[in-house]
Amino acid sequence: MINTEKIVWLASYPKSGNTWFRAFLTALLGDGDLRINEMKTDGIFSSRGIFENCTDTDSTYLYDSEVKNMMPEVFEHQACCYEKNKLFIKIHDAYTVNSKGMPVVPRQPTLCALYFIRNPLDVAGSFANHNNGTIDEAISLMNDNQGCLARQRKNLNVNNQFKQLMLSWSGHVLSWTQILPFPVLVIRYEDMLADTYRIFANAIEFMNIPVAPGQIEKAIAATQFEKLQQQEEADGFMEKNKKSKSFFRKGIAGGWENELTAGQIKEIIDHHGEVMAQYHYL
Amino acid sequence: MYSYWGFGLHIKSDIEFPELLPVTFGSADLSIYQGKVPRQLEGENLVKMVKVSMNENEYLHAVPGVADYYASNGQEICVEAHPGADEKSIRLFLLSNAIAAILHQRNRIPMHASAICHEDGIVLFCGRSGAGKSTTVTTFQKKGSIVFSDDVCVLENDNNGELVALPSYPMIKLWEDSFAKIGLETAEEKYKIRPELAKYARFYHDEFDISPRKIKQVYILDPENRTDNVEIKKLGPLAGFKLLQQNTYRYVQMNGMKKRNIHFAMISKLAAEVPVFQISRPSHGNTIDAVIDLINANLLHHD
Repeated sequence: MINTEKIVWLASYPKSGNTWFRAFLTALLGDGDLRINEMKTDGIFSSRGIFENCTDTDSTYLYDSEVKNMMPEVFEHQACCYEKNKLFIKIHDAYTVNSKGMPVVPRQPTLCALYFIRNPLDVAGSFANHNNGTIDEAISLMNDNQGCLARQRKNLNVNNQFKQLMLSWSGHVLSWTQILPFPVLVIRYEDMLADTYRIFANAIEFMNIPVAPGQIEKAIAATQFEKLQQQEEADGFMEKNKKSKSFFRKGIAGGWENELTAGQIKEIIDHHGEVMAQYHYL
Repeated sequence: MYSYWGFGLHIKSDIEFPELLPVTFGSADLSIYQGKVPRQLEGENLVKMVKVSMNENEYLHAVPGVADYYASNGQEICVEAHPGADEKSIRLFLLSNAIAAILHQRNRIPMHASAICHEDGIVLFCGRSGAGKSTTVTTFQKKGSIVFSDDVCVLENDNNGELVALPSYPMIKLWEDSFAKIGLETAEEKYKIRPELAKYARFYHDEFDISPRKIKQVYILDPENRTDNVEIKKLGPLAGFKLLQQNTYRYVQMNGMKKRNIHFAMISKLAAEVPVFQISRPSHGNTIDAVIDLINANLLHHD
């Protein structure tokens, strides 16, 4: 029987370690070979390219609700099409339901999900850099209960990614960490930095990826933050927002202490204190 | 019963299509009618995807909340509207998907391209949705050029074996922001191509010319390849071939209906016979006049 439970969702709010982990997976699956513009993972949930390949439809003619209603079937189809036994798909959408009341992330082709979480005080500065906007703008989006990525500027439905409903930062975390119909492993960015081997090895075991001795260490060495930065400096990075100067900025934990004003810190804690406490950020 | 010309075909239809050109003719190439479509396709060599399935001679497509479409043997499209669907949406997906399937079934290759008339031929502007094809040809139109086709041009070999293109239908589809860019008044609500979509129709039935024309030049509008200024670059045959191939209209059908050989032959011929240029531009600001100036200079230089 064909195994169709093969999608591993790499889920996160933006700027929470998702790309670092995908770089690690690429190096792991490619025996230490890593070119950041040739990630070996399998695209993003919001890709128009994947959608149009599966539906033969000009998606710019579709309403967002129509797209979201078709998404579950698109990824069921993706899982059936590929011979390999795991697909690693990045997703910034919150885990929500579409207008038919179905989860936009389908149960049937899903093996599991990794959920990356990072202190929102650090996300704010990194997200502002990513959007080439101000920290206040980033915080405002993180506090917006209907916050979206790739909002199809000026009402033009042509962005190469669909609009992604993220909810607020807390809403995003709660949507992915509630009881879901598939296993979810929550990974703190701060733990990835502090105890890289243990965290990555645990994730590999959770996804049930067989590895040879030394393979994880080799992949971690290939994905040191400085190396990712150097590659971006030399060749650019295709996943960088066009408006932003660089994707790999600092990659540290606790940078917020020098970046945020007391007012901004209060704003974030007022909105997200409860979830922050749950993940030991307070 | 209505009679039209569109995509090089004489079309008989029991649905009214304001988009197409009304003509009178003897026998129809294509019949469009409302009826019950099959629930699914049967048989070998069937390619099944999401809401769509096809083999060499049949194509079944569903747009939830709009309609089911069944295109067969290059000759018929059966439409089954869903309850409450609006007519504009029903026509839009027929003119983008089911018609493309009919063309593939008839071994014709639709390109994702708009075009203007130039001397005794045409100039093609290829690019994915949102690349600026329609904005470019509408700006040319405003400056006095005749628009040949919007969004789709159909390639075929004429009786002398020469590669020619046919237009789709006399309607340009423009996103809301293009009107200001081009210097046109904002379109009225009634011209929306779907009720909730910020894209509008501009008809040009009076100047629509249905005769097949030779392609003089091709410009690829590439929104991914951003530069600080508007730039134009002539592509070698191989690079030209690659980009032309990427700009095939409804390429999923080309694969699913096993038309790769015909497609390869047409695109190879086009890349070998016609100069192909790539246009890159900055991501921000209104660059349409600079793009037009550059193309005009290039047309003079390469004539």
